[in-house]
Amino acid sequence: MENDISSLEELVKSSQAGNNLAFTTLITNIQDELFKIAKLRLKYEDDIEDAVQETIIGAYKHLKKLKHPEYFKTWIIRILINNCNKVYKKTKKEINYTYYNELVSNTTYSTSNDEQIQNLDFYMLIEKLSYKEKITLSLYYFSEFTTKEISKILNESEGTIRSRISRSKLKVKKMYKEVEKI
Amino acid sequence: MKDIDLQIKEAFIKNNDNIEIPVEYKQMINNTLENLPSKTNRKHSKIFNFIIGLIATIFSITGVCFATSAISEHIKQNINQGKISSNDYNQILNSGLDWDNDYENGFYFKMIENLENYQKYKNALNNLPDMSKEDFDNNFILIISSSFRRDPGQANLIIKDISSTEDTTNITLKQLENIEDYTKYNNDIIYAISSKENLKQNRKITIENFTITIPNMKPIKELPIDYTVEGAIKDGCIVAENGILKSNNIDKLDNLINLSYLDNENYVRIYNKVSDKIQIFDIMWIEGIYYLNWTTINNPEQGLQYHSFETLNKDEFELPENKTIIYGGFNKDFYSDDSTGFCILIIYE
Repeated sequence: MENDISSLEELVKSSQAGNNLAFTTLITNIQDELFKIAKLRLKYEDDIEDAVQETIIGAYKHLKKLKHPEYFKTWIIRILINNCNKVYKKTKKEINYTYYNELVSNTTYSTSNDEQIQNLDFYMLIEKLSYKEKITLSLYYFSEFTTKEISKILNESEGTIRSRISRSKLKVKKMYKEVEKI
Repeated sequence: MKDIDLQIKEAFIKNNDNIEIPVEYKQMINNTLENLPSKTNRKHSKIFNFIIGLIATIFSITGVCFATSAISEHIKQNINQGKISSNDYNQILNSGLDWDNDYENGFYFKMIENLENYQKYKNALNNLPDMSKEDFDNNFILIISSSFRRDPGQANLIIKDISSTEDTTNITLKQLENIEDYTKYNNDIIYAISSKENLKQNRKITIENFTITIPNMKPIKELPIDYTVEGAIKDGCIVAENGILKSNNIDKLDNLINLSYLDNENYVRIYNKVSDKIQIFDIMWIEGIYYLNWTTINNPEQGLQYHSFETLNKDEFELPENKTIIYGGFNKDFYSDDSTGFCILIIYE
């Protein structure tokens, strides 16, 4: 793990010195994770591509300002989340088309409780959380950032992050128990 | 039940493993990385930026002198806000300044509490007021701007109020009613100086949007959650149920699009029932802007939604099974000259 970190730091330093190949390696190593994080916010692949592309270009432009190379991942994910939010806000205006389609499809959509239970996947419960709760849990459990790092990524206090994690866990637990009762 | 932490972790891993990364995404990454600017270009860019910066500095000298006296007046007279316009939005974004984001409304902002930090922002945005070390003894400055330059709902904003609760700074923005040209890019950066007593750990930004009042009709918020099709027709709404027009006054909406409304009726109320959900849309045209307030009245959690548009369109599509008419509001896109639409009503004939 330490070797990984030091090689990451070297890649960042080399990129900061103008080595485009090093920057390409940095991005290639995390491109899948960037996609998955963006997918938590954005539904359509085109939107995800836009947000990630903006992130790569932004990171490339401003990489020299990153004072602590070891925080590269925290830093680029913060840029990505900002860009996802911008794209989300832009596309929110188009949502009513989707909303309408959902309303129409609701007229023919029905699921019995039995089917719901059979199809139950624990992630479906997580899906019911708000975006902020989901991204916080994802960064904590999947990307394995510390609460301090998440507080930097999301620009919120560490206390807020901690309480959100425990509140979200409680919510999931409660939903699970409710489903179990059915 | 298994340990909740383990359960959540496994769920994320399983879900992420199931996400397929599209080939197009990987191609996009490759193309982006292959087309990164070369060192030579970056050098040119630096020289260009230096020249622009030099020119900006020369132009700013007089402005700084002017602003020095202005800011003291701002504080003394308790007129504590102002606006600057930047002609180069990208220059702001690429200035390397650190901005906080208000994701909900699409604002980027900074609350600055000392001269050293403020100087960095003033160097980049040189029309900001001049402030002294003493000014920061008891005050901070908020600098805020919208990321959505073409959203009419975010043009012409002023900072109406800055107040605080125990842990939150509450910033209230309000749209001025004396509308300028909304079709222009909105490059305004607004700032306000406020007491440090209002500087708290969290921030909440709210916009006081324009709420439509339709003569002789109840405000949307007062409509009953079981508002019926018949009741809405009686009240004079344009009424549709599952895409079928139920009222005979759709010409009111067409007139609003064509701006050929009569008797100063520059507004319509639409009642749209789809399945068991009832949407109400109030649209009003004022001095070049279509304002929209809408909600799903039988889903009170949704609350009143606010939008505004440069144009209102009616698009007709001849499909094999029927003719579909879509009414939508449009704004020029944030990134390009394309328009982004917001569907208001779909009718099948």
